[in-house]
Amino acid sequence: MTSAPVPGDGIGISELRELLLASERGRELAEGSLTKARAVLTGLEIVATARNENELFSGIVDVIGELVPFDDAAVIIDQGEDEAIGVVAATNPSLPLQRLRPDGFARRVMSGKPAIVTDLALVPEWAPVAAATVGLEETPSAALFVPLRAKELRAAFVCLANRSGAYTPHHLEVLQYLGPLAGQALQRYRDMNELGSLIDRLEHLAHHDGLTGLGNRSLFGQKLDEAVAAMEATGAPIGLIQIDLDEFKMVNDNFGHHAGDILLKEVSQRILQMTRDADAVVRLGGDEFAILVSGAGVDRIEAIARRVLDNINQPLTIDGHVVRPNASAGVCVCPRDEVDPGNLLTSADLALYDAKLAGGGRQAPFTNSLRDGRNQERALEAELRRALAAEELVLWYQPIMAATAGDAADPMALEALVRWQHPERGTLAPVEFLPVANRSNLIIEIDEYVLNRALGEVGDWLRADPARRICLNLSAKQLLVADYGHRVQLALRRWGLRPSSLELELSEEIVARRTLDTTIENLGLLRDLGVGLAFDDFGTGYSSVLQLRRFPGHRLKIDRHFVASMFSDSADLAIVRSMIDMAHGLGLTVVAEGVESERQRTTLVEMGCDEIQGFHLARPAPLDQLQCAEALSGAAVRGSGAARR
Amino acid sequence: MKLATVGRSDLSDASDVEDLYRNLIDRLGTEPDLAVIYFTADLGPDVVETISRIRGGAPVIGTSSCQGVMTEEGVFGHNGHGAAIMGIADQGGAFGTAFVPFGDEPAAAATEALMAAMTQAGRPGELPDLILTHSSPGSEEVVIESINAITGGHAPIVGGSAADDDISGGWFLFANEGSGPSGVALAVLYSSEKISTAFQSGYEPTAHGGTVTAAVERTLLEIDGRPAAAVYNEWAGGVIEDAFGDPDNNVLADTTLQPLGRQAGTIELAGTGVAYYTLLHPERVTEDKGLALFADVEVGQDLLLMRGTKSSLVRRAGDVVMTARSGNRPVHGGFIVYCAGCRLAVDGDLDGVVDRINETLSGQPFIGCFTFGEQGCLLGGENKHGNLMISVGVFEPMA
Repeated sequence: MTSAPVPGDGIGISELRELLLASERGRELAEGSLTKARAVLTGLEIVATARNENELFSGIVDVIGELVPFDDAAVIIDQGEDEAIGVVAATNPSLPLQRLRPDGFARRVMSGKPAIVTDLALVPEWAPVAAATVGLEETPSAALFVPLRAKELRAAFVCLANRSGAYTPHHLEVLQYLGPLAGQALQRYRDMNELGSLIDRLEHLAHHDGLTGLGNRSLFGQKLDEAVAAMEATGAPIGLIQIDLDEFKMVNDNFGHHAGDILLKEVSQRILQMTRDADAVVRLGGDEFAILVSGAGVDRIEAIARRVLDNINQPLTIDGHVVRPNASAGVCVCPRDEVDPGNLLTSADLALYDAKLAGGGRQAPFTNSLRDGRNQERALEAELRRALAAEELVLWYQPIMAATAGDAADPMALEALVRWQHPERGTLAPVEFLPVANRSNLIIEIDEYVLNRALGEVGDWLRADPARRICLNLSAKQLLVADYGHRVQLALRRWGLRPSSLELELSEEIVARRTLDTTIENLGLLRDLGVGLAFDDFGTGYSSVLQLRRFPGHRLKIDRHFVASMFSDSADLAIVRSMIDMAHGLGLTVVAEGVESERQRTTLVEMGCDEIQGFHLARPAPLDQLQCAEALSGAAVRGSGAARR
Repeated sequence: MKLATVGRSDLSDASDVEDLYRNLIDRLGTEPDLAVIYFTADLGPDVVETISRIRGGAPVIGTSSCQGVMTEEGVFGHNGHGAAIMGIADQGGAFGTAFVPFGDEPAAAATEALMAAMTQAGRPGELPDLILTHSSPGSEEVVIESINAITGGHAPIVGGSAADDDISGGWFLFANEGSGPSGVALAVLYSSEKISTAFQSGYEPTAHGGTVTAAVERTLLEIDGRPAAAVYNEWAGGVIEDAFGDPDNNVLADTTLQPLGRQAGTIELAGTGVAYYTLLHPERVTEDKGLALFADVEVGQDLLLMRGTKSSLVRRAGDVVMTARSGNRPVHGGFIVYCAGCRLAVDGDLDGVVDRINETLSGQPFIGCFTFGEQGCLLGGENKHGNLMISVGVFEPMA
């Protein structure tokens, strides 16, 4: 017989048992809380001191080892809907936890539902892991999965035991207190890694071209500094090959920017194919590339340039169109070319320009004469700028007559032509200064100067007959100025002139570039205003019937070349006739340029040409020297006065 | 998680059962993720037929209960024809149920039922938060062993043996589409909330005790070498004297307040070991002056005479709920398995039992049945079967 507990004095058995039960429950809770508190405190210490995911993991493993038995432990992470499970850390890296099927069970535990697995063999998602561990002496049978969650993190701490039923709710409870801490720490490291990646990406973007992935100007600067330092240390030369695609804009204009982008990317690859990893290949902007070759001999640098150009110039197909790229290169080698490293890019650019002037599709070395030429050009540009301010640029005019008119006494229109009344060199033709102006943005100021000066000088003449017009040549750059159309509108208002009094002559280059947004907007505004638009020098460049058909203007001017050879080349005569017929068919009036004889005039009349312009009737001359000067003299005086206002 | 219950007396046919289930869905506001149904034994076929037909995909489990069932709204079916249903809606949880007839192998049936329930829950191999188990009387220990073999004994159980109103063998068990008078029905609960359990009796040990010297399964033949019925009768003050010569010698009512107890574990308090017990309820006196019990007994076990009072049995269910609860944290409701013997002893004061439970569950929904044997998780964490016990599981929010 056994003895039941004996109640103490003054207390009944029932009460004592109640007390004991309550005490036991309380003790259990207190002990449990104490264990958890210890785990949390230790966990906090680990989270605060761990410097990376591995330290965090090994710290937690140490803590858990005192509370929960395990043979292996790991942290797994959900890497996305269609991705395999990731293993962040594991005590036994050879255990293939990444094979745990990422659906169902695994995704549930990582999304916040803890699980005690008494027999892993029954869990379908575990089967791939089990299959990979067949034959091993010890394999996991039971597992404890504790979610590690924070922000977007979906992960779990996994304890594995080689004995079925090893884990109890008590083990889970202990680990669940550590879960949020470890999850937040893990998230923090992930955020830091992500931030690091973001910084790396931003750093990359800052030094690389978004389209081609090549380096940009910024990286070029860095690479140049490194190359200069190497050159100073070893004496090895630095070579710079600057490359520019010839007529790249035609690809953009004809096939669209998408095609242009494809070409640029392809060219980038073609350059990379012909260069070494040690060479710095950058896109300077637009269609300009540069290759910085360090530590190679001069011969090798030039050989690279040749190979690169040959490779670029291979045809390719873009959107079904065969494109034949053509590139030019300027090569500058330091110290051979006696160029300061800081001027390497400028010098290569001069060489490149030289290659283009020679027809493109070739390479040219830098020479001192190029530098001299460049210096001269700079000087000319400065002088031209001064001349513009001093109103040394003057206008000469050439009459445009009805083709049937016998003389130039009463022109239908005047074409204004700019001259430079140089104080020392006399009157300079446009060819002596406009190319420089065109290469700088000075041409824009000159165009605007000419517009206002011409309207002022012939304003009264224009106002006297609404059919009269003043014709001005328009540069391509001018149409790229965003508010050019408005500026013309303001100038016409300023001089009180009808828009139809003004006709702007557009080169074929401008007509071809009408795919550019700004050009389209400006031409649209001018046309809507009623300003006349003429297709100048038709037939000399890349004119096409398609362009003519789409041309938004009123008049076509046949280039002087066709008129001049009309009688010596029967083909040109036929072409002139066709141009006239075609223009008429499209509703355009036709002006023949360069008419120098009566025979030419009468032939053109017979072919139906509407207007003529040329030495036969009048050479360009200052306003007061024109045959029609009498009609214009009053206007000239008043116009000049107005211009000065 | 949301819990709701419905209960009704005077159910007469399947359509009444269907109405009851529809009412549950109305109260719950959705189809349940688990339905627990307790009913008086006569309703067994109607309940099985109806619920199996209309349950949709919801796992359901049920058992017959002795002379009524209870919820927070009271006791239903004192005199038969009563049923109550608890519905659990828990999108974050997972639930599965299964019924397997015992046949010749109760252990295998229990294993099969648990595996099937875990699979239905979609959690094969995972430890449930709770296993709700109901089986026909006689094999409860085997069922628990089978469950423990799979869970390592780490999943707490709450359970009760199927009962009828008069111990005539009319009890009934079912889960989903399976049903029968013999077998095991169990539910596995993977809850989004914490489930706490307690398993206690309302009895105190007395100074009377002895050691089992002869026993066969549930028949206690001798205590300290003497006929068990005679020894018990001496300890209990002659309460079964009249049964000795009576062929219809049912002593359940006479022994309810004085069952036998055996030590299940010890609580350490200030260095002193204090025993706690599971109970053995004598059912009748055998021809050879042995005692038929509702639980197995083995030679060598030490037995005590336990003693309870009607008032302690009324109060006790609520006290067990308090023991299960984790301090003063909120509670959402729970299951109560209450011994049918105790229920008969407090018959006139069953409302007091409900009141006390409501008090400790703060009026939250609960469902209770009256069983011929109880199963639960003792203080030391052991899953055990006993008589005259109260087994409780309560749902609490996660910390």
